Amino acid sequence: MSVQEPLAVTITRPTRTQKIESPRRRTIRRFLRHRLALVGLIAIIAIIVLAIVGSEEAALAQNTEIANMPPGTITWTTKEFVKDMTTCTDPNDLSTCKNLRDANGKSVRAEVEHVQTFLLGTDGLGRDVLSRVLVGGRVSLIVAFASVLLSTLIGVIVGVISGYLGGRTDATLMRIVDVALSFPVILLLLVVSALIGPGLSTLILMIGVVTWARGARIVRGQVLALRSATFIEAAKVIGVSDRRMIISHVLPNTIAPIVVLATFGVASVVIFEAGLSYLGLGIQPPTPSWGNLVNGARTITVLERYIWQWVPAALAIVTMVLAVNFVGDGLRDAFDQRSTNDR
Amino acid sequence: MTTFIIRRILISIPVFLGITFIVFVFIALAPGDASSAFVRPEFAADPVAIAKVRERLGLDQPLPIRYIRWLGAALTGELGYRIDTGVAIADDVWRTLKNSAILMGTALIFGLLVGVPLGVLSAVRQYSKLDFLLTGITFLGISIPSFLLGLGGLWLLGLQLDLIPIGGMTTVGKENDFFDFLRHLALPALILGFGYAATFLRYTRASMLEVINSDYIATARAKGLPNRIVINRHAFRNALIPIITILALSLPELIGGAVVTEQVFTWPGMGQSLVDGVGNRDFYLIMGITLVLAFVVLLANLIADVAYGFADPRIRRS
Repeated sequence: MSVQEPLAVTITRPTRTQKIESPRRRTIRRFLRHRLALVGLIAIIAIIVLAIVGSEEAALAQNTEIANMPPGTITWTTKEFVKDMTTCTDPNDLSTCKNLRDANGKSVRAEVEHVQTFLLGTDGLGRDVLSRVLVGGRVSLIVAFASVLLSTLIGVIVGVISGYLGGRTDATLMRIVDVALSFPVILLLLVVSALIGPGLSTLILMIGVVTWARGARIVRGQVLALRSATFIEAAKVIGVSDRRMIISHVLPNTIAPIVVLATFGVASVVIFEAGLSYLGLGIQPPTPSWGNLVNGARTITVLERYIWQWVPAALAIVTMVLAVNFVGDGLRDAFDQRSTNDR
Repeated sequence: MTTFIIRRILISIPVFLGITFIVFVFIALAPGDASSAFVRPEFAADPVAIAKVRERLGLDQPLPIRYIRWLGAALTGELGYRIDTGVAIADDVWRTLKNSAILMGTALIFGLLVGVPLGVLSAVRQYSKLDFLLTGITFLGISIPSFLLGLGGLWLLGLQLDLIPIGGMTTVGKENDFFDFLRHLALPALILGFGYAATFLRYTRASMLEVINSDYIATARAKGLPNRIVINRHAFRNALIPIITILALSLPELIGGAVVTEQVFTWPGMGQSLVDGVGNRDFYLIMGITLVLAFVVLLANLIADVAYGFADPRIRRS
């Protein structure tokens, strides 16, 4: 019964003054609207800045006089030799002075009072926990970012080769990916770090080499889907070289899932490093890392009575992982071109 | 179905060999070998004596031959003896496997029973307050490493409130006391279970949302079926398929994934054994554990494949 209205089609062409939003701008805009992701990003930047400003010297300076002190201002005294100011060869440098001697020729010692504030207390060797957490963050973040970079690089290269070449190469590479994916990662990490000897670069190399397979599979899937895309065919028809094809046509279109995967990867490597170092198989002391700071809690005394020695590092790990996961979530939503939820 | 299963088993053999071989090579390439433990100290610097021991232990053979020898022995159940305690590795691995399975099995069941129903609820009431709350908790569950949560739990419940024992599986002298065992099991199982629950909730929610928005659900509703039947019969069944994947993928973790958490609670499981093996450079212990892990990984993948086959007839036929 309803009267069919004539189908009116109005095509509004974008005029020159109307801007069409590029996909990249759209992604950025959508990411910025994601409030939690923004909070996460700010938290990550703050953590990175703090990690950079941390003083390595303060993180390593031991002083057993003030071991295991809770957060606060600590006053302690030491007996030090009194310098004889008349003997100084350089009046501005006390170390050039000779010790003051009494009538018997013995060096005179006096009590010197020190006052220093430790915001997070000191550890079992009297080191400043705050500095250790900051410098530990630097170490943990270097491990996380570097190994994810490595793993992503391997993943992208294998994925592109596999997807682009196809055929027997693809079949072989994907078998290897199958093995790598079903590999109990923690087992290999434990074995390698214990047998080859842990260290910053070993750890990065190891984690990178063990975790590339997921990236490879995702990139391969993307490349396979792209291979039959019209614009790739068009590029082929006009004779674009393989190299150019991969670099300027295929790779840019695989960026989105890779960035998301890498972001979540950073979170999981932070956890990996923490776990390994907690077991004593990651970064070795005296170099601090978030993981080996928590390692202190393996003794009941530290766990129970010196909580300022392990809780800050534990909180740092949790904060970092949460922040990275928020950003990852935000990126995933922002990149999702299918999503109609264009807030 | 039978040919499908047989084909899957055949495919998993090279993967199994791959995993064990890679770990074998890694251990073999590491500096130092078992010979140092068998050379008498006074001959430690004598290359002839070391060579003799190496020959006796078969360490002078090329890698592939050593691997095949190990594999041959392993397949007949001969895994060697632990360096530190002298216990047969086969027995040790079996004991710790059971302990790990108890802990992780409890955690997994808890995770499933809590995560899946809440995931369905969260999806059915998308964007409700409950959904936001659950999604938020899920986020925490996924982001907080279980060993840190374990440390926190130990500190609060074990040391401050003195509610639970601070580690181990039994109290000395109370080995057969089931209640005592439960007290030891509760916290680690709950904490690992919380992580699982978060994962299952997340995937169940996502998978349910996808199904709920599909046409056939609209049809079922349009027919006038009650909501409960639409959700339970029509939606949930199809949403289960991705959950099976997650379940299968977490099975290997049942054994190997909780290494750190087992350490926190000094739970005498496989993770503990692995850390011992790695610490003592106990070649055969590590290989024994690797063997079991590789086997469990493949078994889990196989179970997942077969479960898909049952859940989705299209997979079976192709």
